[in-house]
Amino acid sequence: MKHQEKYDPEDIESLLKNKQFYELYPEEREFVLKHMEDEHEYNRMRRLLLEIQEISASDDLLNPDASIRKNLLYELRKEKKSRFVIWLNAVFAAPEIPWWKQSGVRVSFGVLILLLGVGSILLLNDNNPIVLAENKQSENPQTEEVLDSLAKDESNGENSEPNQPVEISTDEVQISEVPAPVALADVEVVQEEKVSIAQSDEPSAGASQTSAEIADNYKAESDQKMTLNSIETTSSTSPAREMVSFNETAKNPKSNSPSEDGSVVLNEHSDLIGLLFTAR
Amino acid sequence: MATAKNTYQNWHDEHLMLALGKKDEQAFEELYVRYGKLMYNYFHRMLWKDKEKARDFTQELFTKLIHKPELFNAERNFKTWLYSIAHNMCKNEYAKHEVRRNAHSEIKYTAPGIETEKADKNMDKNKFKEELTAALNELDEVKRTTFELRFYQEMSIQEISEVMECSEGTVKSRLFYTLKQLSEKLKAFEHILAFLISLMLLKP
Repeated sequence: MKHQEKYDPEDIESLLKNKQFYELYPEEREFVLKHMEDEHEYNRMRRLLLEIQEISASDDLLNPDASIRKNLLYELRKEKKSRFVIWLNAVFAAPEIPWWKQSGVRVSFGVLILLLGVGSILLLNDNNPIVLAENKQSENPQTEEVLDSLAKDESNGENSEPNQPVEISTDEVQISEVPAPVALADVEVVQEEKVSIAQSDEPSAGASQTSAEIADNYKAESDQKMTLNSIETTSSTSPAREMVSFNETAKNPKSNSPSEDGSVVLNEHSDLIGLLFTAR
Repeated sequence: MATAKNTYQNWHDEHLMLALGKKDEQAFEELYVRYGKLMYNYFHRMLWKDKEKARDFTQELFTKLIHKPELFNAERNFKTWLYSIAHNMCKNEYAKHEVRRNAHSEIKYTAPGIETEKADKNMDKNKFKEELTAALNELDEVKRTTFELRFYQEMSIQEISEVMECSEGTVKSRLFYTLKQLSEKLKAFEHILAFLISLMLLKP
């Protein structure tokens, strides 16, 4: 069995080339005879194989025509030239560029993307408006005391002592812009009221003023009224806070006479004052 | 220039083919020197010794290399790749001219039993060659190609297996049975073969 495994049919060629029949080993002979009839056939095949090898070795190879090489070189050079595209209306040879690589297409794409980006930014800003300034309200402990005192005064009513002048600390005033027609309308109404009171023949209780003094008082009060109305209007239209303070102190809210230091007494505007502080 | 030529002569076939892909003219020249003659003779023997066909097929083969170099796989042996293309070209030609091939072989083949009184080496040798060619033409294309590649192109069993896209054992088996079939057909020349072989063995 080992002999059969050692040799394969394909190995017969090497045996035929290298050994005559009588030169074969017993196991080789046994193997060869499995594929051939007898020694005669082995010898015949061996002679044929050797002759074929002799013929192939001795045969002169034919030379191909020279035209083959010439034609092939022509094809190669033509293939080289076809790489470049020369435009007839151009001076230089321009290689072919795909449409999506051309500069015009690229620029238009860039502009489109830029427009989309700017548009998206603008849309986002509409929903979240940019706050440029913020009105800050400084915490003032005195303000709370005033509010308390005012609240007490209102609750006591007539039994209460005459309203004492309310002292308010001076702070910076920041008044937001008010729609002019609204503020002016309120001022006009107040002014009309004050004028009517001023023009009445019956003097107010306890009043001993001259007409000039009354006019000055009304002017001052109208200014304050305008201020208070502007604050009230602003507080109703925007969430911005306002800090308002008065440079004047009110000593006698019911009296129209000015105080000794020149400040105006707030008497009829306590409700507005309350609105002022609640607006904070 | 001579230095450059020498450089190309030292290149492997695969490197030359890659350079041909870049339309290197000198690389092409070197490849043609190495394989132009071989392929021409291969086509000449495979296509019924027709010189015109051999020329056309050789030109067509190298034109394919010029126009489609990307078809070559650098990991593969260039020689076997080239022969596999040539083999496929011949197969297509056989399919086209099946009838013509059979008619051609009948004319050329001579009946066995011809005897010669005078052992003229050259004449007998030429006669034997003709008979051998005729006998090969009668074989199917697979056996004939295997025989041609082995004994005329002197390719190894491994190279033939790559060209024919089969195992080495299959190649050896085909060679054996082709040889056996030829020996049967050329029985008439047995004594001539014996004479020729003896002359061969006596050569210094």
